[in-house]
Amino acid sequence: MNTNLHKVWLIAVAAGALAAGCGPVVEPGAEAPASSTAGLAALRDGPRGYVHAASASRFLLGPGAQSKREFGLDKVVGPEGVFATNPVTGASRAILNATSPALLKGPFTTDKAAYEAHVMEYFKTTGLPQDQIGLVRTLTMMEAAGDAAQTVRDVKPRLAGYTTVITRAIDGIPVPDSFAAARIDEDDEVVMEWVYWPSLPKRAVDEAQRLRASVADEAGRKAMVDRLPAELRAAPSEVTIRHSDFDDESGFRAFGSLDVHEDAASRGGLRGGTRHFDGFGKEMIHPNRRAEAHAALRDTPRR
Amino acid sequence: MKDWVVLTAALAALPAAAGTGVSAEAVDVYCNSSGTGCSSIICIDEADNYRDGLLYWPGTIFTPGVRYTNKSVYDTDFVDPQKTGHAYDNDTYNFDKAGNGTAYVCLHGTCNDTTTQFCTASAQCTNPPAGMSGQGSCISAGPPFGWWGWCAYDADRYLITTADAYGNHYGGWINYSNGNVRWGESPSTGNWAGAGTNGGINFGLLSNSCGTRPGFWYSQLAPLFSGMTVLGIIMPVTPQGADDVDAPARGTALANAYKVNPNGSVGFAWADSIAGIPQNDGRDCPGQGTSYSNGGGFGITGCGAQMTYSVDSTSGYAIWNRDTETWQQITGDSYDSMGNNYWAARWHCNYDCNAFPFTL
Repeated sequence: MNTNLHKVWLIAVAAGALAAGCGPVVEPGAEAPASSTAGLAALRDGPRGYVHAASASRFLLGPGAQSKREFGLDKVVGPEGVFATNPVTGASRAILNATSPALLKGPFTTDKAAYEAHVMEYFKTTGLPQDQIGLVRTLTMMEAAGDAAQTVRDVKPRLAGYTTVITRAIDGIPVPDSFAAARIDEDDEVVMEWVYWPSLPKRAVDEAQRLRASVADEAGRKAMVDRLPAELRAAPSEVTIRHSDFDDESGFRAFGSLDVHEDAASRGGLRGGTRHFDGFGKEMIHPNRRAEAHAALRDTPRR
Repeated sequence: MKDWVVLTAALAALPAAAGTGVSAEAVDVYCNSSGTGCSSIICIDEADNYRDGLLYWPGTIFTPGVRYTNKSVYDTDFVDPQKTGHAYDNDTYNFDKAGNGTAYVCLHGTCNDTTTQFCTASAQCTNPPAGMSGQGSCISAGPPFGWWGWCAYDADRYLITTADAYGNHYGGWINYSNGNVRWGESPSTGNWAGAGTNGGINFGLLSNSCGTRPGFWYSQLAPLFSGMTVLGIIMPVTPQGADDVDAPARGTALANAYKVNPNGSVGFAWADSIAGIPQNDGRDCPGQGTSYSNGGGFGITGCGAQMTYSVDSTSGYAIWNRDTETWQQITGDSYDSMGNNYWAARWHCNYDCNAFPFTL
């Protein structure tokens, strides 16, 4: 089909579907896949985790959703989108199809506080541990379009949605790699969600608590800072619990960390970043770098 | 002279199209041209996490494109020889290689577009310093002080590879706003951008410092397009210190969207991947501490956004590219952009950029 005729056709189909409205949130008959991650939430000896199951989700799949296994993920696939669970990590994520009319709907409410409360209530009903909730952060999605002579000053951007990200804290210590995020549209449909909230080993929590205690007073903090590389001693820092990311199937790792936020100036003007140190000042490599896997990669030979 | 004419003509004549290839170029170690005075960032992991995340799953539609790191990332890898007439410019076999559908570059950049000129309205931004031009934008200082900011002016944007890369011809500085870096041209698009028809990628990802600034998207980003449909870029907003930071999870989060739903929108996937980056990757907004009470982090220090940007010959096509092109569709040329008359953008901010608009 001719390129742009095809685009016109697809735009028309999308517009028609939007006018017609959308199907139900979750097909009642949709079952969790056989290789469901039940039990992953309680695997470790520290704080319990939470696996966001398809059966508890209100994500907009549409009618007649079916289970399938693809790319190593357990999926529930509907006409509006896909809810996928990683059976190894327990992470789940749901994404609409590009043609779903719900993709372009506005937020449930423009009152951000009310919106955040709505997302919090949603995850409370699905079982997210309420005693592990840290900062509640909301990302703002905007959209705009114009011609070559127009800038974003000339067109009025549209509020396309809010994505509320519930972060995790254990005993007040942030766990930045855990999160529960959702976007809910104006019809109260969940149109995007993403949850990774693994159970944690007690050892990592103990490490972080010891680290926090060691920097609680001025003398302890100075002793810790003196163990850091010189260029980092004035940088902002915080005690955290770090762990493997949502997609890392190479074996779960977690550790207590002093996260130090290095700025560009201390890197010769290059960009900043967050570095991780244990209580002895030893730098820890975050597992989300996939250091071992990448070490085996080779550059393409040059022509 | 004759040699490059023959070579570039030959390259332009090659049959070319997008495909299933996925490429990555990234630099961790930056040195001066003599290989000394080195500093490091974490970029290779970010780009590899994207490339590997698309490639190494049973049944994936993607195949390996090129991978270059550190001194093997040449400034010429991104420049179109049909635009410059230089045989040493070679996006043709590198970043924009035919047979590739997507490519991710993570390099250093420059924030040379900002000033310390205080402002409360863009009309006050009329004094561009050397190297900048035109009417400026008054960029809001962000929450909670939304009523004032600093002037920013239009300035060409750069990717910067290490100065001691083996094949550099531009000192490592890659100007992607001057029209010589062009991606995605194919027989389907024709030669509307003057870049031939020998490109490949439809979904380009660019992670660098100060990739673009509100108010200047078209002049800074539209020159990248010659058939590519969707660009993903990081946009720090507040001029004083906001910037892209090391975020290996950014590449993972984006590739994970493909695994979850290959029929999902790539434009949304890029904008939404910000949610999968640890919230403390980057300092808070706008003060660059660690409270995050007004936002910040998620791969950006200060106030900023991950932005999807597209251009095309009509507004409807540009919006379609931004919202509707899928992972499956970026491997073909049926939906290539056919011009740059219109733009469309979607951005996901790490703060409330609705209540606190970018520009004043």
